[in-house]
Amino acid sequence: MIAFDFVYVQPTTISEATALYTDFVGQGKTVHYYGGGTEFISEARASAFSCDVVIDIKGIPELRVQETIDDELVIGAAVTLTELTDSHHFPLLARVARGIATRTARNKITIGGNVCSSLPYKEACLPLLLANSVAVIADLDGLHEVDVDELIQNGLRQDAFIVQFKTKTAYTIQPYAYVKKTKYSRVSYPVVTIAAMQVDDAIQIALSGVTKQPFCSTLAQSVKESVRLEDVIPDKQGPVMDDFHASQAYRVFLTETCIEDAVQQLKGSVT
Amino acid sequence: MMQMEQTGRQIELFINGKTKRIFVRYADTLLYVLRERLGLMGAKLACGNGDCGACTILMNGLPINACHMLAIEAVNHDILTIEGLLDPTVSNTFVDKWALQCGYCTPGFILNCHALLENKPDATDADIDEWLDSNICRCTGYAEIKEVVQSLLKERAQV
Repeated sequence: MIAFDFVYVQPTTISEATALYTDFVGQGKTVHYYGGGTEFISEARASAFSCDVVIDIKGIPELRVQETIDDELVIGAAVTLTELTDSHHFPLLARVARGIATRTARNKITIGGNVCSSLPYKEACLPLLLANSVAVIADLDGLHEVDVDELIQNGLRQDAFIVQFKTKTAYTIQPYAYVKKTKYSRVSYPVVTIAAMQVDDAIQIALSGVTKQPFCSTLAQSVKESVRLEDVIPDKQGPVMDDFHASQAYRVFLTETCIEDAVQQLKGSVT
Repeated sequence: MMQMEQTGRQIELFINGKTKRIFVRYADTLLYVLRERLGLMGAKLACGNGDCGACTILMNGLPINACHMLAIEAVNHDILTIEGLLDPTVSNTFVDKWALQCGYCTPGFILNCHALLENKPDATDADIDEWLDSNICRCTGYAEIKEVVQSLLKERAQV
């Protein structure tokens, strides 16, 4: 049970949502934008989080689209992970989404919620990083486009919410690979999740579960045998995680092995 | 005079084919409202965190963890709990296949299986595994539960 009370509103337009935010903050309230709500409920019932007002943005039509406009795939931030797995727009995104949580949970978890998660995994962002996708953000100053990479590194401001993700369709049809390793069972947070994409002559990889934020890297052309993780992690990412799921040393070993698996998958699919 | 803020309201929920009018706190989960306010005890509280599936209900035909949604989110949606599943086919097959012991996880499993059969009549074994991964059982070894779905898919394919 959630022990604190809050006001709940359901705007139907982006401008209504931001106007409500401004109004409530002006009254001195703490306000939270609410999408799928699974992480909100988990944290709220554990008393790890509270707020005075919840603005449920699922009812805004722009957040529920999945469509191709010209050469861009547009996915609304409130599209659920199940809706992604069941669509054929972006096969790698569908594959990665299928590996997150359980199917019943995916009926509620949204792509925007997963990308904005307070946990370090944010696995749904991996294909978006590979595809140089942009996020359309709504805040009190209007709509802005931000690279997903920048969004992951800098986070989302409290007064903003993601409206949509835009991806050039040329990326959505590229050969790809996906590897996920967990500590115990098929359904679990990752020790490491890797999404890889062949773009022209380069192999791009995006990793989750390795450092405190997901990141993207280009593998050297000379990769044939083994990969050293230290050559792959950008300096700004910080150290490899050491936690309940895996020690740092094991995580390094497993990630290097999985990168090689991903490269082999790609080579197998590009013949 | 200090203005009272509205942290709950009277809502209408459409549950098992009937409209229920009830006052809810916005912070109430659907599971709490079903069990403690409406007497629908079939959905079970176990993990309370959307991990085990014991609280599975169907919303517009799809499985949802009732502990992981607010009751207010259920307004204008079609909610089915185990009490409202009048077709006994899945539950009878659970009995026939010995797919339950203590029965605590069973309502959630039955609804998930029912939804799978309705939504994916051509489900493969991989699809069955994917759907049933949403529900945890401490008593059985899951094999019997999977057999329930496999046998019903086969029966329906033969009809």
